[in-house]
Amino acid sequence: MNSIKIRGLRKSFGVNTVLRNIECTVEEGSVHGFLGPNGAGKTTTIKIMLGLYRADAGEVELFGKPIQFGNMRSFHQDIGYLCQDPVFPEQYSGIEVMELVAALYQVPQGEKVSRIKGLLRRFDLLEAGHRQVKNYSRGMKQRLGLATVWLPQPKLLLLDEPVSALDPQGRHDVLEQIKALRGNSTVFFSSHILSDVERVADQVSIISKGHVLLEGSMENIRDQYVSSDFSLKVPFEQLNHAKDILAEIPELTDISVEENVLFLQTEQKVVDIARKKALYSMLEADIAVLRFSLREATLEDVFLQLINGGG
Amino acid sequence: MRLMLFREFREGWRSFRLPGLLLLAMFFAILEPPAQKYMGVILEMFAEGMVIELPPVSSEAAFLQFAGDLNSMVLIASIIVTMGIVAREKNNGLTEWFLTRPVSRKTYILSKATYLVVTTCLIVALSSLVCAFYTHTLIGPLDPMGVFLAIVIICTQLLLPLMLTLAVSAITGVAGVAAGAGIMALFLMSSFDWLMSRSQIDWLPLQLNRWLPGALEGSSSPSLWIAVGLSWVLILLLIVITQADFARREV
Repeated sequence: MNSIKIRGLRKSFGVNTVLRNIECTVEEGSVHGFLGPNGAGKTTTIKIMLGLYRADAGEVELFGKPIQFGNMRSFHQDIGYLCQDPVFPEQYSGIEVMELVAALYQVPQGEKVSRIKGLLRRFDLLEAGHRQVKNYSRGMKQRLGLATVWLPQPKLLLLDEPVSALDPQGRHDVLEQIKALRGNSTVFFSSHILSDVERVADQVSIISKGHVLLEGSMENIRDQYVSSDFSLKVPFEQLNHAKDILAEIPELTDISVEENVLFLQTEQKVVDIARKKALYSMLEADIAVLRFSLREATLEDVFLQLINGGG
Repeated sequence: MRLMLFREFREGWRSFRLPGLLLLAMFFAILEPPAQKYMGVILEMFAEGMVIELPPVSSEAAFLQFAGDLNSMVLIASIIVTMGIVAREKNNGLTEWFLTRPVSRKTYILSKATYLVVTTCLIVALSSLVCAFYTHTLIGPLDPMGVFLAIVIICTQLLLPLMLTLAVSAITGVAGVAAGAGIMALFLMSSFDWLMSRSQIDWLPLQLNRWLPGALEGSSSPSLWIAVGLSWVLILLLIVITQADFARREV
């Protein structure tokens, strides 16, 4: 079953068209990364899914049912949403915010206290729990936001740039927790930090200028998209000679040496020719090839290829 | 609904908006009875050698003076406090936070409207009782039924511009515009009352002020109840319009 199904989603604000044709399917229990540069339409898509914005065209289904703008209360019972810069009732303390969320989601009384305590501890807010939220730092607010999203154990978590305000340790911890949700809850999270998405997502959608450029599993994407970088290891005494020979191959755009390994860069469209020419030139010059490999494509490679129109 | 209403009270109390308004109303409740009783003495202090003759002070006149303060100073302060009731939360993202939890748009607006009604009635009732008691101690007794009627009239008078302020705050999302609408309603109410003072029509919602002196003496007429009833219809209509508009507005 799909937790989210988006078809032909369009949205404009006046003359500014933000979403042109967003299509996306998110399987139940998966972690789905929603990637795109700033202004690509990630937040607008999420806000339509939450019923905060009205779509101009297209359909959004959550848990197999079409959503209706302005009438989302029944859906919100199963959704935990964290916005980019979380805000809370100003005069509340961290614990009071958690209690309010527990009451709104009707968390069973018997579990309420233990869940709140556990989450505050997990997000390192136990000591700050009695302080008013208005005195929290941005990172603390984001951690509290995550704790409130986790609290009702929703079926679907919509996280808009969930780790943008966290330090490296906090970031790592939260990403690990997102990973741990796999199979229990569906996580749909937007980000422009590719390494974060790569670390936790099963599936990815890459959008730009209101279009979905790519959707698929991380595995398929890695298979489908290859890097245009090679590494070549030759005997140390022949390193400079090899570099000079390779420099004559016009398809290679950059050659660098790091720790006695040659790194060759080429363009995506001539990657096969460049590979053959490089190997052939080594054979011709009688230089022993100790290792020759194509670097695995990272999400960043895929993203850049797609955004720059090379995909 | 209960949760959201409790949240409004907690925020109102802790932000000092609610106790601030209550203190302001209490200040006038305590100020007016002695000010009225000792007006002659006060004036003589400033006009040495002159003989000032004032009509005897009545307890009704002292209370009416207090009612005037509620209808002007306290109302303006309430409008200023109310102008951001939705607009402020819309701008700082709190509306979005609530509407993405299991809270319907209807409940969100209704809790704010209920909070306004309850707090206004509470502030008016408490301060009126204090003023009535103090007037009774200093000047003379007031008819309990009259005080009750006055509380009903004052609450209704205050709630009309306050509910308009809430409506404009939710519809436009701009606190300044909401305050402007509330102040304009206050101005229109007093102008309309003055314009219609010689007319035969006396049952319109904007004419509640003219019933106050009579009501304090314990007398009421069908026209008063029609005016009060129509005012509450208007207040409810404003809530319904605000809810309907908010339900189809993007946040």
